[in-house]
Amino acid sequence: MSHLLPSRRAFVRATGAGAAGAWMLGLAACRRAADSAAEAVRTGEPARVLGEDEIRTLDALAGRIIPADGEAPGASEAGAVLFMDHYLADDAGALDAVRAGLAELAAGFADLPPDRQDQAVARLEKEKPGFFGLVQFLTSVGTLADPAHGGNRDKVGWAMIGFDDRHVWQPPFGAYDAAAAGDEA
Amino acid sequence: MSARAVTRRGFLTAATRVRYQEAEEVDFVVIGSGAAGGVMARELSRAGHSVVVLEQGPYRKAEDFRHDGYGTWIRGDMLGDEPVTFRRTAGDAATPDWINGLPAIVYAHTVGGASVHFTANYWRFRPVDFQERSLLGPISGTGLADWPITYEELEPYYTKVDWDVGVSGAPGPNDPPRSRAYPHPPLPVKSSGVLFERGARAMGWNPYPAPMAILSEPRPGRSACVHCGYCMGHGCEMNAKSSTLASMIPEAEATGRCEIRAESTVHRIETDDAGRATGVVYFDREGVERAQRARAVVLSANGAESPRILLMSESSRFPDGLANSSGLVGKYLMFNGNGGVRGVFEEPLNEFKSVQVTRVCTDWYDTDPKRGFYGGGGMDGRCLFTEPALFAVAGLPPDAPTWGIEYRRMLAEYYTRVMDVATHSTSLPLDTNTITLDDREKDRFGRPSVRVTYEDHPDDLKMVDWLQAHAHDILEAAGAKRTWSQPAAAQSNGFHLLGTCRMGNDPAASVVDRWHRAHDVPNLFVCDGSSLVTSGRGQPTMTIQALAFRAAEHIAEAARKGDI
Repeated sequence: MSHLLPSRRAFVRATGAGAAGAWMLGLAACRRAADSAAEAVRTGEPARVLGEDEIRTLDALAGRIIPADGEAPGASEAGAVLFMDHYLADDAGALDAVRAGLAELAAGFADLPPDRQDQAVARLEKEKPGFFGLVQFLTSVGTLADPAHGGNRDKVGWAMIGFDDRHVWQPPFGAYDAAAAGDEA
Repeated sequence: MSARAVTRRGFLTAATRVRYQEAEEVDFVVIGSGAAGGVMARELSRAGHSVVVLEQGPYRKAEDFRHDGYGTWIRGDMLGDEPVTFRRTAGDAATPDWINGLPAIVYAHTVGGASVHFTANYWRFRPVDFQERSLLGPISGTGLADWPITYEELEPYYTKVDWDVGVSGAPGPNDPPRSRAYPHPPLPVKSSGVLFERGARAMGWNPYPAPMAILSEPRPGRSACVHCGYCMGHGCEMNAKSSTLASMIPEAEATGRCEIRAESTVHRIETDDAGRATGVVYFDREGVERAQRARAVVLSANGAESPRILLMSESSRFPDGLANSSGLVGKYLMFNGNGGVRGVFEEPLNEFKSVQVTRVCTDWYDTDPKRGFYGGGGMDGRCLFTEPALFAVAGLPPDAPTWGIEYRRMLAEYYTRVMDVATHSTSLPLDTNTITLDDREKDRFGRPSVRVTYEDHPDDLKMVDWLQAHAHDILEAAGAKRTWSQPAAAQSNGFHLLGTCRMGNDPAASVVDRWHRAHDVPNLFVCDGSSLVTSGRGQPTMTIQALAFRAAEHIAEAARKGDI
């Protein structure tokens, strides 16, 4: 079946080398994570499972994976790490993998200047593809999923890509059907 | 029965909905509330029968559906939790590990089944589908066979699907004969449809509006589509998508004779010493085993669950599983061929709006022996990964950056500018592609898990590659800046579950007869994707529902004549 199968398999392909497929999304963990993330967003409670240093480092990693672009927010501004904290609180296997990866990351990563951080991330993708793939996935999802799941604060992730959650539309929908309708008018 | 309290929409309120006692012998138990089961429930209860529908999933309704792309696509909220094992061939070990991020068989556990979340492509089969063995001759090593019925016999029921379930469309250039027009005009075209049409016409092909089981205008009790974009994979909160939840189940319940008993997981169909079905054993929501007595049983649990239930219903009288004297229960599993090509364009298409598909082309439907392999198919213009988080994970080209400012900018540029041409084609029936009971894994009720054994016939993959080459051409002719795809590969996940209790006139070569009655059990009927003799060219749901309307009409007539 082609890559067009709408599935998480694309995650394996997209995050390179297939080594990221060594771990699987825990369905039950995902469900609990999303519910608890929504609750935390509502109550402003502190991190569930990640320590302060872990939060800083993962937030810094996220900020290099999907960086800000000038004034436009990236994964750090979107609060992707809040989604990660809730997800990892319910998936012990993934939490262990993240902690093992963080332990091997150079100390003080969060305090490095951005270009040094980028060098470290490039090394990480080559040398630790499983850990890199996991963090890349959590960053992407944490930036672009519905804000109820903890990330994508103020829908900045959606604004980044041009998604509008208005939920009700009328034609014309996009440039090409608008132009075709114009041709017929 | 107490006076009905009729809601504004004309449906019975919960308080007056019928509830049968298990010990009370109802006329029919229908197992499954999906595309086929929903039709069966509505038709049999409207014919005057008492019907209990046993559905394993919960009873979600329109008001329960949320626009949560992450919940649907990444968390898989409506999929079941139970293990399903997969192996390529019987010589391989079957494992419960999800492959490609999904289980081996993919359908929602919910009232309405997969019809709740389907894409709603409603293609009729064509005359050739029913008689390919006669037309082409046998294909050695396969179970290619003619159907026991013709397109002409099924046509009135395709028309019933159009009008009763609700299909929007317009005639196309290669259409089989139809006795009535579509009840609703096509949905408004999207940019993916405009570009698909432009590219296909430039290549000399004949695209046309996609027949979709989504309402382009309102019907009593149901809204028209509001183009929200949370369509494929999601339940429709407007009841515009023509799931059986929206179209058939409410009408069944409105008769006052049909009970939808959700969260009821069937374990066995019980039979007596005369070899007749007497009822159905199931686990309720708390896991307590219960049994509903019935005069006849209709099994419509889908092409994986129906053979599973028959195999679990083995007894001393039926040592190889119920209704399995042919040995074919679970065999000839077919997934259809599924491929596609993605392209990115200059201007925004905004495919996150509205339904998946608005234009199709079926110029390659027939098998052409000159190609050198069996198979036929069609394609459509759409966009698969409109859920933002899923797009980041799956939507970019394989050589896209995976992090950094280039990754961010590519996400931002591509998300609104991407579309797919999806290809849909045939699977040959192989008796080595099967649904069997796993000998180790069990679900939480202790039932043996489904084990899928599947390897596409080489012709199936050649057909996908052949169509993908044409899909590339269409996108390039439409002006795509760039296109990308993967070569056809052996499938490990089935969305279409077909062929596993095939119809036929010969009890040695089929499980059910031309009316879906099990050859071995006179009051057991099996009608769903398992009934299909050949796979068609993708989009099997409309044919499954036409078969169900036809079977239900016959069953009701047979019941009237005392012939069950």
